[in-house]
Amino acid sequence: MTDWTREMEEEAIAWLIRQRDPSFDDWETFEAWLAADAAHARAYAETAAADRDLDELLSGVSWPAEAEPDFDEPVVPSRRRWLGGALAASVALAVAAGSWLAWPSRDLYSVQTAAGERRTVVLADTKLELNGETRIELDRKDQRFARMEQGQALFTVRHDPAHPFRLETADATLVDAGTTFEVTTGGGALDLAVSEGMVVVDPGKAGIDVPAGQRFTLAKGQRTGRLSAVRPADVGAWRSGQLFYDGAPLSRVAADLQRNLGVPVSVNDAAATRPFRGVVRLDGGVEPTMARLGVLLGAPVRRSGKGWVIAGP
Amino acid sequence: MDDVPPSGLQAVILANREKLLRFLVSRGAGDAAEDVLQDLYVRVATADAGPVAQPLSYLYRAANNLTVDRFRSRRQTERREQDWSDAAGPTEPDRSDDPPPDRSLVARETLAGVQAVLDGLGVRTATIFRRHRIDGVQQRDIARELGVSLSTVEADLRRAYRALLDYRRSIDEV
Repeated sequence: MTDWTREMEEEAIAWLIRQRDPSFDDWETFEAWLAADAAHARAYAETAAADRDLDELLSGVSWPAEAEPDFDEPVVPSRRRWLGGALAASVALAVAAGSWLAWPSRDLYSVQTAAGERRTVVLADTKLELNGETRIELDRKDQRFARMEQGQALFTVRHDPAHPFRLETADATLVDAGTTFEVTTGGGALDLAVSEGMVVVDPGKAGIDVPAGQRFTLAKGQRTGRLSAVRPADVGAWRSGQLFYDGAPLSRVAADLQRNLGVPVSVNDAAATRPFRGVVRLDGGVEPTMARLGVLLGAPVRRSGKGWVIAGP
Repeated sequence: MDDVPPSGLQAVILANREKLLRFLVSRGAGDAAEDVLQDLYVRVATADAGPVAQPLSYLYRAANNLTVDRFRSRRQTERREQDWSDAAGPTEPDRSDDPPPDRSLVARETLAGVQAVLDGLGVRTATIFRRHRIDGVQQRDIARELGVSLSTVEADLRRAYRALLDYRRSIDEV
C-alpha cells in the first residue's frame, strides 16, 4: 500500500516536529519538499494523520514518574474519585492540537474528566469545578478564557471589567459580569444557570443578560434560547450529590446520571422528551440511585448490559 | 467568493489565492484544492482567532490542518465501509447486522500498547516528548529545562514519533 521509503517517512516526521513549533514559518521550503516527489506528499499525509490519531491515544497514558510535572501546570491535583470510583478511567490531560482555529494565536491545552470523576482547576481569579464526562480547553496565555465542548462545570469567576472571563461553547459565547454559574453543553444543546452576578450570552450581537436566579437554555437545533427561573442554591448542587430538575427532559436526566455515576445511562426514545420535576439523590451509589429514580418516575429503570435504561411510562 | 465583505484573513486569502492553491495541490488535495480553499475562506470568517501576527503563515497552517482533517475523514469512511463488508457480509432486510466489536476492550488494549511504547523509550525521551507534544513547549526551551543539547531534543523527538507511529500502524494492520 505504501510507495514511499522509510527515509521519506523520517523526513515527514521531521517536518511534523518542526511544524509543531508555533513559530514555524517555513511553508515554502515544506512545499518544495512535497513537490519534489509525489511520494513525499503521500508519506506526509499518512504520517500527519497518524500523528493526529495520537492525540486520542496519548490522552489516557501515564508518564514516567520522573517526568511528572514540577512545572507550572495550573491543575490542582484534588481529583477525588466519586461514589467509590465506578470507573477506573483516568483523568487525562490531552493536547488540543486538532483545533486549527485556535492556532497559533491561542496556546490551548485541554483538561478532561471521565464519567464519574470530578476535577477542580484553579486559574488566576477563576475556579472551575468539572463534573464527569467533561472536556474543556484552556489557554496558557490567557487565563480569562475557556472553551467547553461538552460536559458540565461550575465556574466561580472574580469579575474584572477590564478582562471579563469568556467561555466559548459550540453554541454561544458567555461572558461573566461577576459570577458563579454552571454550564452544561454537548450534543448541540446548552444550559446555563447563574447563581451569583450575571452572565452575558453572545455579547455584542443580540446579547442576552442572564442574572442570578435565571437559567438560559438553548435546545438542540434552535437559534433562540429560553429564560426560566432557577434557585441559586440548586446551581452546582451535583457537587453535594443532588440533581435538581424543574421540567428538564429525561434525556438530560440520563446524561447527568451517566456523567455523575460513571455508568452508561440511556432513555427510551418514547420517554426522552418527557419533562421531569424532582430531586435525584446520588448517595449510596448506582443501584440505590436508580432504584430511587424508578420510584420517582413511576416508570421502570432497568439494567441493560453494563448500563441502565430509563423506560417510558 | 460571497456577498459579505471579506474579513482581514479573507482578504489575505484572496491576495494569496494562487500560492495557497499551489500549496494545497502539493499537499495532495488535487481537484479538491479549490474546495479546501473555499472551506478555509468560510472558516476564517467565523473563527474568533484574535489578532494574527503572521497571517499568511497562519493560513498555511490552517490549510495544512484542514487537509489532515479531510484525509482522516476520508480514511475513516473507507475503513468503515471495509469493516462492514468484511464483518457483516451482505445485509439482509429486516435483520440488523452484527454488532461492532467491543470498542472499550479495543481501546483498553490500545492504551496499554501506547503505554508500553512510552515506557520503552526511557524517562528522558518520554519527558522530552511530553513537553513537546502535550505541553507545547518549544524545543530550545525543553533543552534548557532538561540541561541537554538541542540536537538531543531533536533526536529524542524523532525516536519517540517513530516508535509511536510504528505502533499506530501496527494496530491498523491487525
